[in-house]
Amino acid sequence: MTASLKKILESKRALRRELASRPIAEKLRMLDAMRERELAIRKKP
Amino acid sequence: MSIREVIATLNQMEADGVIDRYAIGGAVGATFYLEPLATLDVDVFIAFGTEPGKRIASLKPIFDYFLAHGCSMQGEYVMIAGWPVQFLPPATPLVEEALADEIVVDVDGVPARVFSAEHLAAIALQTARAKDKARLLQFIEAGVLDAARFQEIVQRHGLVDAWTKFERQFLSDKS
Repeated sequence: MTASLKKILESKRALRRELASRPIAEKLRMLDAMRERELAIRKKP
Repeated sequence: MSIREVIATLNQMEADGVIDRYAIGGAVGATFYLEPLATLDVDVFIAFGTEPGKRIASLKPIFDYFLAHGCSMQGEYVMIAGWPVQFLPPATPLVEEALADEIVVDVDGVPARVFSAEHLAAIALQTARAKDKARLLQFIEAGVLDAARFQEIVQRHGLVDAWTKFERQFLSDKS
């Protein structure tokens, strides 16, 4: 694994940790937003 | 569209005596412990029993309840607050235990019943589809599992071989 890939993966892990640590109500609101986005994409011809 | 509203509806259904107990599992349940996990539906496990007058023996009373409250059906899903919600009876002793040991989490003033992280991880190990294995890895990498409790569950439900195989496959090259 190259040093740059290692850095990218570590940065992704850090983002996931940060998202996981957010309050549960906020995380559930993010699920709501993801579902709304998914429905909007489905509607597009 | 709001999962919080789904949870409030589940609490009301419980208060109205339609079900004895519920707990959220699946990706929404995992989101209580991990980063938000994209999902198309909400998996709700409900107590199924045969005690007369206490528990239901089929899903029909649940569907009737929601239809009477203006919710629509989409196949096996009940549409609640814009979310397709699937009601599932516990299919294995592990899921039965997960339902009995559910924990209550406050969601902006609304109590939500959800499977414990250790039970969600053990269920992922037992179900063992590709996405379940990925989720189990997420639980491990996030460091949210009580290792001793998880191992107790693994042993109690005959998952030691599956865990050994999983460890060998995904966790042995960590050094």
